Amino acid sequence: MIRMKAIYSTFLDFRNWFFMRFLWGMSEKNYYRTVELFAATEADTVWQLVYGIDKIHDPNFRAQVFTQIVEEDFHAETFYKISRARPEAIYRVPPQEKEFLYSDDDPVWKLLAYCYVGEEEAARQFESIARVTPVPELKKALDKIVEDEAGHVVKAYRLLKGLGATDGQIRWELIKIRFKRRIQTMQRSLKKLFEYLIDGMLSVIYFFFGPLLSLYARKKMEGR
Amino acid sequence: MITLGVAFGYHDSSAAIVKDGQLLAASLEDRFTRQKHDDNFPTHAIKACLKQAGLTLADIDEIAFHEDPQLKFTRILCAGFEAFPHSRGEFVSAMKSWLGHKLWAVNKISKKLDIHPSHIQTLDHHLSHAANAFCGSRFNSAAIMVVDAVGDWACTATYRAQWTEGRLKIEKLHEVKFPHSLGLVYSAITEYLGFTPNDGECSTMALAAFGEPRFLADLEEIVALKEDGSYFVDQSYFNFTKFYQRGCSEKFIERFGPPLEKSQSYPFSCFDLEKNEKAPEHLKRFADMAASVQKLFERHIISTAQALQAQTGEINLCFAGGGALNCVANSYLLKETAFQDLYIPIDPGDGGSSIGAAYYLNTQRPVGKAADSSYLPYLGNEEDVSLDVSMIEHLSAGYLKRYSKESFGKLSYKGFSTETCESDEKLVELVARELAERKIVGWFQGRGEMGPRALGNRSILIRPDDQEVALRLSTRVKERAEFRPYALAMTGEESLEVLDGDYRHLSPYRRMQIASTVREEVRPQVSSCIHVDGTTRPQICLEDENPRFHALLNAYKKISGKACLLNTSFNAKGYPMVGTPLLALVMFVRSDMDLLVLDRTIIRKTYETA
Repeated sequence: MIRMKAIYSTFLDFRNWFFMRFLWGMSEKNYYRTVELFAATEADTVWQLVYGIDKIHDPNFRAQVFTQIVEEDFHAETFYKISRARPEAIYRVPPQEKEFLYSDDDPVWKLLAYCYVGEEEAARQFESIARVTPVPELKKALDKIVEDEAGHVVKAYRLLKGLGATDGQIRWELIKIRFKRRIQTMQRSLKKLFEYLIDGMLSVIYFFFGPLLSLYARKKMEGR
Repeated sequence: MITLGVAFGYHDSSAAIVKDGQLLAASLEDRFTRQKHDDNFPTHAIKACLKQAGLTLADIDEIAFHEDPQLKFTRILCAGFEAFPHSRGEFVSAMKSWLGHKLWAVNKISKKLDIHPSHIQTLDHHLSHAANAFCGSRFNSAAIMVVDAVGDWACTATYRAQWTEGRLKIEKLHEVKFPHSLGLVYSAITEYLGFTPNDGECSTMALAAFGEPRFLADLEEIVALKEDGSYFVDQSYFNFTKFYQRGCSEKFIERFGPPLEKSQSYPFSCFDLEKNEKAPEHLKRFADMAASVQKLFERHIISTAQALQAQTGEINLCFAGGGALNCVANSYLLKETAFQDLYIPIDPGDGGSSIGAAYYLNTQRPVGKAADSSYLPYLGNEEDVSLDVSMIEHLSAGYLKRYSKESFGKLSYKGFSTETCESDEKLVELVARELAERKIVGWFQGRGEMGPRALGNRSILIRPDDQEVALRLSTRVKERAEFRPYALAMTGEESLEVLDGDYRHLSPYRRMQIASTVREEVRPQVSSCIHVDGTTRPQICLEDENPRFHALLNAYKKISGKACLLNTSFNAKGYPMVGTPLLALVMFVRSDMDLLVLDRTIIRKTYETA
């Protein structure tokens, strides 16, 4: 098990090194885009927790989740600030349609488990990126965020149990969430591929119909 | 008959509910999603409106969508192909979003709300604006002016509205169509000045006060006024059809010089006037450009309004569209035209078009008393604060302040204390005392405001005569440029002392929608809210409109002698106004705010005593 983890960690390091040296090296915009996406993900976690906290009536547990919200808000802001440090390279993630991850009938601990799994995975990614990034301000931010995440797992487990989940339920839910997140990652990659195809098709349409339609468009615009 | 109005797809998605000509609820989606100017389907705003109106989706008879997607699509196509073969990127990107979802807005509404498409109607975008402008005005008839960036095709449009046999009748009089757009010219120059278009126009307006309009003659040549009050924009100076490029063209840059470098910021200040004198010459050029485009805008809307008045003979003017957010230009509409009364809806921009769409559709059948109906700006959600108040004592201040905003450094508070007041009298007395002691107060009460202005329910308040506190507010709470002035809230009686006239009967003066000159002798007492040109954006608060906030103003008067407070929206930089008490708390713990008032509970930060 330990060896598997080490292999996975090396794989992550290699993948992140490759992305950063190759993709970020190709264009600075890619780097700012990635950091902006980190910010958007953290901001979405804040939103999910703000929505989910309504179901928590115990003041003590509520305070714990509130603290988590403040932390995530800080992380989102940290990434935003880095991504916008060079205004000419700004890439802005368009506002996302916000949908609550769980239905209103689901117990709130499921949402918290989802967020914590996401955080744990993100922290692992950040740790790996921090090791290989050539950008000092990003390394500093990532180190701070990874430091924040340390100890979260134990706290999270305690919180989930406090909110009524049993050990078995938590274990099963975590398996489901990890599986769900893999599927989501795959869907995102497929969507990107699909978008490239669509771009190509639309470009063909543009150049095919363009000469004729541009005459009509210019006439219509000139008439105004 | 109950109508749900829906607006989404460009910016400021929103929802509104109108029942028999009465507006019951309205809200912006960004209050719930925390994404400023959110353009997505307003799921959460609809939910909040239904909850606030005590209705369910099954009670909705019809839905009005704020624009005609097919008509707008023809404009997008024309703009896309007009620049052929240099617009492939723009075309591909526009088609992906239009063919992907925007063109099928009716189907989307139908699917999301489980309502048959036959119950959904689309309206011309500027007609939605026009109806929004008239709704709530209490006028029996009025002339309407809509100045926007661009709607379906129209950019500026004029109408006449009147009640006929209990129905609302709106007749279109004239329109200026895309690409000739005064709003787009203003936005393009906003971008040239280094601000974000569709968001930073208020910064352009604020910057204008620091410059001289020395480019006005040049701009008037480019945006030529016609005899009928309309105008023609020389397109060679702008890139309006290449919508993913910079708004101002190379020709514009050749004539007026390069745009502001993104890394630069303006050194001008409303608080420290010495800074303005020391401002470098190359930055004054941008202030002069801001002053010029502002003056151009004012001249054009005055001219359009004068032509409209001559054409209709009406004495009442309703004004909507994003252009109506320009409070400096608005101040000339009554001074320079024969109109005697002016009404601007609480959200004149795209956010308010859901109100207009719902109102127009709903009033196409006789609706009894709708003609004299009005509404207050507090149309948003009301939140229970008790759960958030109860958790305060479980919070660890020492841990939380690690996450104060990085640019503020580590904040110095050591804990929180709460105090719940039994009566409004006690509450306002305590808060007024704290304000007098130079505290920055977050004020979260009742139903949220619809639109961009915080009018005493989602506000941050400070005393109006202390520029040091105002500067702390700008730099350590709002992260706001020093050249942007704050608004001044005052009671009706106090307005007679502070402003240069009695404006209590004019609604724009009650909603921060118009700039007004402050009497010379009063200026030192409200110095934090005065722009360098001696004006302020007043909120004249009447007791029947917001009793608790009115009481707070009066309580402050007992201590300071003036029923005035600096009032700014409860939001951090880049975020919309806070929609829930929890988000208000997040901002409270992360910024240098001293006090948060949630309903009748005061939450204080406690500090180490020296």
